[in-house]
Amino acid sequence: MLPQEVVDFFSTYQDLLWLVTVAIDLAITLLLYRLFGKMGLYSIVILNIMLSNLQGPKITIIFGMETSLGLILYSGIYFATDLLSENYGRREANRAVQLGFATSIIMVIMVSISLLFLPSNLPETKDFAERVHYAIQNLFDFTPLFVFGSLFVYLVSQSFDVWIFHYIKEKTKGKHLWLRNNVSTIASQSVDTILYALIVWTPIVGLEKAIHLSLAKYLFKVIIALLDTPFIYWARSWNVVGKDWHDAGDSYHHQHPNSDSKQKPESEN
Amino acid sequence: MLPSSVIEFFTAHQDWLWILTITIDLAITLILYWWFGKIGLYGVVVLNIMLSNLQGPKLTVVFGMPTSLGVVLYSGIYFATDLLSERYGKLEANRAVLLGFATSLVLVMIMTVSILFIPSPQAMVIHNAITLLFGFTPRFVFGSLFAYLISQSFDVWIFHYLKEKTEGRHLWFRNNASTLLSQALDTVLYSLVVWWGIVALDRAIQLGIAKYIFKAIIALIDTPFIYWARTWEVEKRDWYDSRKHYSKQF
Repeated sequence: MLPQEVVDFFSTYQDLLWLVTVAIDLAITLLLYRLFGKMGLYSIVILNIMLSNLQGPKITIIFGMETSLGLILYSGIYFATDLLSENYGRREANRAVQLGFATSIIMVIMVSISLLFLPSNLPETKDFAERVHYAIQNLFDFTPLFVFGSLFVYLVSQSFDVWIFHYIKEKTKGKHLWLRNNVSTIASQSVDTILYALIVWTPIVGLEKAIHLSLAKYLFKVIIALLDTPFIYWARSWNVVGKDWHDAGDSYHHQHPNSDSKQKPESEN
Repeated sequence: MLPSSVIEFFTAHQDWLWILTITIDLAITLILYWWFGKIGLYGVVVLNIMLSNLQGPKLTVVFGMPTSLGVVLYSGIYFATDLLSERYGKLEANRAVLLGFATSLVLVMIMTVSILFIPSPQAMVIHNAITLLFGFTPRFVFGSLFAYLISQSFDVWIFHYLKEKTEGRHLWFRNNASTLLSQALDTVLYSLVVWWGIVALDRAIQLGIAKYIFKAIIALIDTPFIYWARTWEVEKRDWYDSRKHYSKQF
């Protein structure tokens, strides 16, 4: 899809590409928030958890260290939940975490079922269909340990993130956004990394190698956590009340059938 | 992940598996609606459009006809937007359609960029798999996004048009008519943009018809469930915390 020059350029500058990807992911979160308000942030949580499931096994080398591409998208979830926490409170952030958890489970179920379908055996599509089948199989070659491990770790660390964010917010009386944004993400990312290393990696590669892998991973996560700081200040100041309208089912029902629904729903002012 | 007895059973009964997949997709939509209310339906739209992008190239043979697995998940979006339309009105349904469009664009963008990363040697297989699945051509991307936006917006519009004309009666009629018509629009638009010039016209029509039959079956199956879901009391799940209310605390 991209022009050849772009492909060539970034195959030489992989470190730059990593930073560009982090920037794009951040920009997308901000854009969806701007366009859709709170609902945009909910979508980001779902989107990023699904894409990080998909990119998880893609290992690449950045700044001389091995890292998974899933990490960037997974880290993006913390920015979205922190922004939700800051602007809309704990309840909304927790709901987003749970919705992300549910969609992650659904993705595993749907993909596992889809692999039961045999690829088409018609002569004209057989070859392509088989390649696609094995491609999906390779990407979603989950073991139960991996699936339950990562789901569990996600739920614990993201819930912890929301909790500690609000704990710090109360202690500091709402001042110093940078402190709660960074401390909550860095602390919960370490919970995430440690649990993941113990549950998923140690049984496979042994404790020592698991620690080694985790340190590299954690370093990248901390960089991403720090990078988003100016943007949470910026996004906090946006006035998106026009996007945060909410059409209650009830009021809509009452309108019908005597009036049409042209009336704009109430938005908060 | 699954026990081998299950795998063997469904390998032998692919048609059942297809029906089971539809049931599960429908059940998931209902469960998410039950648990999360309106936001659950938004989640289903985002989820289904992403999974249908992933499953789009997976071709299989069901009831003797070739079909893409993406069709099941893509059709699930219509159920979610129809339920949103019915319960929460046109504006909410349109927002869900737009949000699905935006997330689909984001998916394409992120996957295209991710392919630029050179895999470390042990991840070569994964890299090739992602390249095969998400090495979209611009024409395919444009065609499917265009068809999605037009047909889903049309679905919401005609749903409400019928609702007004019938004064809110006959839910089964607007649910099925809106989905059947907009799926026809979707199939025609998609075939024109993506297949024009690549496959012969009679072949394109043949593929389009096979696809449409599956879509129509799925549209009809969900009818009793929209009646059921409409009666649910999910007001408690539909809370939302406004910024104004929340920021008063500090």
